[in-house]
Amino acid sequence: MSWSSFGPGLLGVFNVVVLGYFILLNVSYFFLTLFAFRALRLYAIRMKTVELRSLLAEAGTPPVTLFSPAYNEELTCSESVRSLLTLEYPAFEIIVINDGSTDATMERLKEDFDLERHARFPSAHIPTAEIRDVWRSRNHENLWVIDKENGGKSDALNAALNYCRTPLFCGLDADSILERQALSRLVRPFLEDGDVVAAGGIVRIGNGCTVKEGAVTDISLPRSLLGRFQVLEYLRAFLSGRMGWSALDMTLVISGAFGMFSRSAVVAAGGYSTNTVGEDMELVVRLHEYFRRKDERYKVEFVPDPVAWTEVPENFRGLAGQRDRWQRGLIESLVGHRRMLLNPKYGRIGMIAFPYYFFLEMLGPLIEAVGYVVFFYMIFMGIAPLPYVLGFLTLAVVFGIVLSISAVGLEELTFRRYPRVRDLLRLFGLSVVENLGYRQLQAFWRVGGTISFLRGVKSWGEIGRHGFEKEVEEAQAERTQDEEPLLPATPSA
Amino acid sequence: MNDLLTRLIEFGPEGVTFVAVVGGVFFLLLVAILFAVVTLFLRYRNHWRAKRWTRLEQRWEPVLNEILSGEAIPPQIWSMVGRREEDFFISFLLRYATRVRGDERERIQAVARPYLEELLSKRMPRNPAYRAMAVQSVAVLGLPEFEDEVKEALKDQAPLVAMVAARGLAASAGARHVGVILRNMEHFELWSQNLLTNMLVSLGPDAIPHLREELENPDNSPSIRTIVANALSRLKDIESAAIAYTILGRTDDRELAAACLRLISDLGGPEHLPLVRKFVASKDPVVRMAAVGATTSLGTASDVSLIVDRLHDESPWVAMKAARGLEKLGATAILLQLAAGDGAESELAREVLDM
Repeated sequence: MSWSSFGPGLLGVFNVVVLGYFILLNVSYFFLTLFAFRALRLYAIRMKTVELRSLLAEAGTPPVTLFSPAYNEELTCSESVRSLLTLEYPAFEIIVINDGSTDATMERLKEDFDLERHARFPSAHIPTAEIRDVWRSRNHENLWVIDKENGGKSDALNAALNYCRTPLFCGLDADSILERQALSRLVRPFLEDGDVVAAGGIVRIGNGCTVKEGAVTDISLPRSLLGRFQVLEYLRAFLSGRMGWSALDMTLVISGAFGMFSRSAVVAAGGYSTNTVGEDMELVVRLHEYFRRKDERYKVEFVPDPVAWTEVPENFRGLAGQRDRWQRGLIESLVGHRRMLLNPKYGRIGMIAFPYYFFLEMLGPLIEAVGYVVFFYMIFMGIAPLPYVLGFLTLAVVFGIVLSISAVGLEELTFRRYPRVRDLLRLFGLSVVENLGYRQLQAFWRVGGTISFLRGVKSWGEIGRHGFEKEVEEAQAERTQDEEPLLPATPSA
Repeated sequence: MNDLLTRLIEFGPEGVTFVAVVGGVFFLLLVAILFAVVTLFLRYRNHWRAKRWTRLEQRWEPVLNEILSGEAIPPQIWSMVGRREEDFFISFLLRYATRVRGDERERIQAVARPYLEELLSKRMPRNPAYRAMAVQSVAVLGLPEFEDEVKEALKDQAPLVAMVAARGLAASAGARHVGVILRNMEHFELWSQNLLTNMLVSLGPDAIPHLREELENPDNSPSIRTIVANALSRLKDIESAAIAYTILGRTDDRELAAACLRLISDLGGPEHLPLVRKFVASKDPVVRMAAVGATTSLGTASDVSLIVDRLHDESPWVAMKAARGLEKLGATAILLQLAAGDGAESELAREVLDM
């Protein structure tokens, strides 16, 4: 092919960059999928070798503290806590952090769990917004509530960290529902390897599933197309992406919705950063930097079988806001630790994982979005022959379809959470349809996120949580009729 | 083929690229369809497999129960196991074997015996996950005949395989294997200290003399001696307190010193106090905390002032230990006084007094 076919001068160079980006991204993901495939097969065998129950019985389950930050969660906070109290784990505490809610979150918790003020000596002193009071439930001695001034999610997590007494803690989102055995499964890597400082579980989409008494009982795809696209996206991200990176010992992201950490490691690294909306990723990147700088042995793992079910936005506005925030969080985390980029001092993290996220995940949406614009411009202006452009676009799309279907295949090989064959077939169909607009929207939303970052936007935006449907209906039914309806949850600016 | 190449060359580089792109699209489409078909196949295969395994178990279970009760002999069940069912049969036997002991376990082992040699030869050369599975099967179903193989697995490079071998030996013949397990512990010492300690504790009181030797042995690494000290503490071996005392005077390893202090705290006597008290001022917070614990366990009212100083310790863990220790020493009045005030120590005192 002659270079003239790509367009004159700068346009030609840009098109080569776009082509290179698509090839690099898809080939990287393809190799990650291959590594993930192997790792998942071996993981399944490993799970049979050391049976979890006997491992926990012999090792003694290390106590874990669950951190549940809450801001204006009066609609779902109590149900969320009840769900946590039913977890099958012998020794755990729950610390709910009321982060200066302006609604009746604190009143609900006091009423529903019979809270009383109780002294608790802090085990660390990470600076946070002022703590008003510490409460403990009379009915559940392992349930504590920290009432504090508003400081944002990271600040709330740091407050919990200051009061955490257990060797491990688990950061959760307010709307996460953990499977009953999730903690036991997530604690396994810490028992098998004393170097593990962090482990992430898999986050699955609960929209469309039936929730009863704090547990997901019937698993189904969401009703909306947007929700279903996200199921596919999460399968790719977790089963292919995170599992692949973990197989290479290069896990750079643990989801804030479900991650377990060594308390002492996180305190030593300084706790959560309050300068970012992507505090989950930033913490893991900082742990890498901290331990590599100190030249100490450590590991960050991804474990594919412990599951947290979460609610995802099913409207364009909510999803756009979420992706904007994720992109900002990604940029803040990477730019904040840019000294790691291509720095051999940080080993394979600095030389492989970090550059991947920096160039392909962070800058990639820019390249992709502008690429779509330029391609159509070139066709319109007759600069590039339509067959070539369509050919390359089709190649990129079909490669994406292959990667999506292989993620569905990984799911079928291992966990098979979607029991209905029709859901499987729907996921295949979605692998094709998502390329006809949804993926392009993602790129533009993430470009929006990049612009928001450059403009210095720090807000979380509206989350518009509805709670898992059945839980919310039950919660509302319990309230008295003369109570006023609540405002939607709006985290702090 | 030559004609095709000639025609391609006639297209020129642009044409060749276009053909390559189109070819790539069709190839990837085929791959996508193949993956989708394989995924559907996996769904039905798993469903079919689950049904098949259930049927097999339903056939084997009654016969196995008869063998366990002595009413049948192994060949009766062997004849029911097809060539490609052997691995599943071993998993089936493993599930039973882990639930029973004594004669019943021996009978299951007799049933499994013919299959173990092949299992080892098939799985040992493979990656660690498969090796671990083989070692686990053999450790549960094949001891003592396969003792050498399991001991060899203790030296495996993969900690998972070594750990599985150690657990298997510990569970089977008790104290007899403590030496070989400890000598190879470096291959799996990254596993949870609690797990390793409990494994040694599970060897029972017969292992105590061996464990004392290993604790005294300066050639063992500090981490192994730490685990051994923890195990002796849980086995309530009073005589090991003297050994711990001797080590305490010589070691500069923080974990070992802390383990010795904890052992002395549980099993020591007043004669150990003078040395223990010195460690209350250690530079290391882990050691300080263990020393505070030991002092409050063995000490008297005269130790109260030493412990009160630790309420202001820079490590909150030492401070918490000191506060609880004061309660143990009966210094509740001091705690009440602190609780009435303001400041961090007041919060600590109130917590200890459950206020």
